[in-house]
Amino acid sequence: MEPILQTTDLTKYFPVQRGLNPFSKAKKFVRAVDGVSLTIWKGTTIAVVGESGCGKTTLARTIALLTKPTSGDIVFDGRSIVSGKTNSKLVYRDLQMIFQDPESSLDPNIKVGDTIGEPLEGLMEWSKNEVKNAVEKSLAAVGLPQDSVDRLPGQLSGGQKQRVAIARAISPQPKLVILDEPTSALDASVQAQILRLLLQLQKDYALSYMLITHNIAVAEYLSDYMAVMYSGNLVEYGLTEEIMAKPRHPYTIALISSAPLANPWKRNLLQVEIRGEVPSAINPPPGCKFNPRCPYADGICSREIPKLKEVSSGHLVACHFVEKTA
Amino acid sequence: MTCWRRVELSNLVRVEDLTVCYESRGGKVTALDKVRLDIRSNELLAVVGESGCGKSTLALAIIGLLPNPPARILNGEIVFRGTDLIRLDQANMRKYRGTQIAMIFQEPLSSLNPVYKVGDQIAEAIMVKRSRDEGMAQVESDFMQKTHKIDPPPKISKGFRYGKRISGELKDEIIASLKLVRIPDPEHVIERYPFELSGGMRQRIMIAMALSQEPALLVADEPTTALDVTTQAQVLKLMKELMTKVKTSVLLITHDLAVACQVADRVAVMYAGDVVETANVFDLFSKPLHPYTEGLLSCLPTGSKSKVDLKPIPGSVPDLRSPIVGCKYVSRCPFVMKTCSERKPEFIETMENHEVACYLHGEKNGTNSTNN
Amino acid sequence: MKNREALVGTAIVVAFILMAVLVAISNVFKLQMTPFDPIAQNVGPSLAPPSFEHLMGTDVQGRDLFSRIVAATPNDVAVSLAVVGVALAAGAIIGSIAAFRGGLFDEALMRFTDVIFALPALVLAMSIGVVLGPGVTNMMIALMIIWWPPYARLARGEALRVAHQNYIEAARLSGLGTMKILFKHVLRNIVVTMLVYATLDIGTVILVYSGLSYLGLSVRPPQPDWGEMVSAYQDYLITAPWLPIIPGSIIALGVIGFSLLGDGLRDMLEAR
Repeated sequence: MEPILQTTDLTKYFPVQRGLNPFSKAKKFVRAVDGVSLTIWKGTTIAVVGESGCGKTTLARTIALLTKPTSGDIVFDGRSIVSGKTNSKLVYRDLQMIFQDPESSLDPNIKVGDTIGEPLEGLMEWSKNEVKNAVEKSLAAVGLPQDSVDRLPGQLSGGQKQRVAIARAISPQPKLVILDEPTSALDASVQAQILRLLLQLQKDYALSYMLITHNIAVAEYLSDYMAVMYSGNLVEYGLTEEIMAKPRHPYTIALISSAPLANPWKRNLLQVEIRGEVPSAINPPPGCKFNPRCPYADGICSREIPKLKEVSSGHLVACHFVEKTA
Repeated sequence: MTCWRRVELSNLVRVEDLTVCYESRGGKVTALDKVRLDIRSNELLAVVGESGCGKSTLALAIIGLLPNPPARILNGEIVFRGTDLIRLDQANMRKYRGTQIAMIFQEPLSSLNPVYKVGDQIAEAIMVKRSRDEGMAQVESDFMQKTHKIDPPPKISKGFRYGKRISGELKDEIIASLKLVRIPDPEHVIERYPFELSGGMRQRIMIAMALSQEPALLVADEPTTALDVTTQAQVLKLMKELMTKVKTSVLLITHDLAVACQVADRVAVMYAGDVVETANVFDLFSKPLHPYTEGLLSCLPTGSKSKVDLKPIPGSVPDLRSPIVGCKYVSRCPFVMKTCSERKPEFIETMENHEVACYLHGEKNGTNSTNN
Repeated sequence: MKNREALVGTAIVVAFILMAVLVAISNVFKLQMTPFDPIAQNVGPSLAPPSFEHLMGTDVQGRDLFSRIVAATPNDVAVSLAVVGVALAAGAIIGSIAAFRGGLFDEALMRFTDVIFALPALVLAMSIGVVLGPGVTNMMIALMIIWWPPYARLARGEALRVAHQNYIEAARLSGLGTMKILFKHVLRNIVVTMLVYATLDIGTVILVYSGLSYLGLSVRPPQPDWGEMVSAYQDYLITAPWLPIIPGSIIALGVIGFSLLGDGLRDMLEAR
């Protein structure tokens, strides 16, 4: 299996401006992404899970080149894309993104057909006819009727808007699609429709997905690999099935056991024991960021940030005492 | 032949035939259509449904906070401990709202006053409770005076003024209520302003304030939707524990069926303004009667894609601006029959403590009857 | 109820604009569409009250007031529409570029906006009047120079809101550059709010321009102009009240008309 995307020690810090002087250099930073190295394998789906402040959205936006990384490398389809010389237009032919809020994903003044065709007009050198054909194919692929081309977003439901966003993302036939909480704003029945659609499109177009979500159930359903983030760091990485069955990082254990199961006989929620809150992103605790809340924390945890270690083939955990959760 | 045994459980709230509509420039929407619902003592009833089903409208109607120009209660009654809340005017409703019926909302930042410290706001809640207790004591003592000529006790609490330093007994009570909701370092938290705290802490403070009133009913409208998963677990667990301690019933409004499965005793499923099924959580999950409930359950992702075959419900929710004859689910139901589009099925109890509005179930309703 | 007011406003505005256009066209072709020559004296008795022949009476020089009022229409209408139009366009572009470029560029542009905003309208207009000489066009230019800052501020605020919408990011992912995004997506989405403000603002320009004209900075007599008329006739308030009151009322009517229209527009758009 070859990788479609690989990040190496990717960081994104946001300067925090103190005081009124716009020229002063920032001394404090929000460490949104603090050294993340992960691999997305071609044709698979990786779910990047975590709660608010973990940096998963910033990670997605940095990979999508919507914001410049502070340091680190991103290698997409064999080529590094972080240098200033990168032609983002070429990258976007193969890398696209779908956002969380269907309401703000579409320009309310632009017709559906033109919205779907926008990436084609901006990235490809195609004729008007080629664009028209591609838009028709996209609409059919996402299950929307052809007369939608002339409609405005205001006439569509949330689920339909999300379909248009998906159609727009796949129209240039990308290789990797980043899905930023694609169903969080949708009702359960619409969510199911969209999830099935995403699976179908993955098969038909040989897509790789990077799914950003806080919903463990959706992550488990859709993904092959899982990356768990906490406060800017990658704490666990491996096959979804393996992590769901036997999570090893203390945070992952808490996270997965907090996800409500649709099963009244398995009331996992009432057994969860996790204390404390997510730490400040500007002043994180020294050492492992989870140590103030970790039931297994000891000595070295508050001094040294743990590195990712392999606990079994392909399963990586960043914990000093990972053997305690075996 | 089985005769239905009517079990008289103590009903805290009985909603009967409630019909609410919203009037806007786009048309008239029937948000609640002859809804019938019971909330029992010491239970957690979860009302689940998707957007537009009317669950929030139901919660607001019970607490008496329906925005009066667009919303109108056309019919029905909400009987709370013998009193029909709908017939009350605002002044009398205030005796119930916030005291016997407490409410917490989805976004605690807008429920807490941003310009006052958290400790002060909790103090206010406690003082309200005290004066309420005194009021009750006053009523009792007036009665005692009239009948038995016993002198009334002296009035102690004078009401709460913001800005005054909190000390002594009141401060201890505030810290105790914060400890009850497991807020760490309560001594410092009472000096904080709401925006300085996280969403989870704010919601726990809301719970503390609501439960300090020792209400008979706590209405929680999507209380954990805006919270992280781990925080949600903590808050729900807390709510369950405090419920038994304070002997409060909880009406939990949520769009998340999984959350309902985890904490509810009974579940009511709503669709397009109707309550379509009510049952205890185990029966609902193992023996769903209404096709919509079945549909909802089978579109939840409960495992990996290789093992689970998601069956989305085809179609979409009908437009409630145009009146619909018959059952509202006909456009999406896989078992639709002729009678379904002619007349709306009645909401009846077909099995013990299991009510449903569907012609597939119950003698009274359709040609099919299921006796279990 | 609100709709009725908006209709009244629209009717007034349409009447004013129509009148202005007709007068302007007739000026171009050197025709006279008013019953009397607006600058001709002694077409009627001096200080005659309104009558069937002279609908609004005459002034001390025997000029027909009605003809003067009508002939002056293009001034106020043209100036207010032109000033607001230019302010809207300039403000929209400046504000949205500042919002999207951000950083020091944004700071610099906004501080420049503040400086212009701080200049007092009347004083500046008077200075320009001294430099360029009085006249309708010169006053229009003076107002254009200082009128755009609120629009730039408004545009910047709206553009910042729009900048966070996902469709802007999607446009970036479609290879569109900042300028293209501004013209394709941003301007169209901020113009609505700005249009409401602009419509309400037209009335203000009419008032300010009338003020300048009252101060004698605009037309040179005997050319008619509403503000100038109020100034010229104010001494006749007791003896021939129709002379100052009618021009003043026409100014007020114009302001009311545009305000009602603006209110109606805002209500209609807020309901959406």
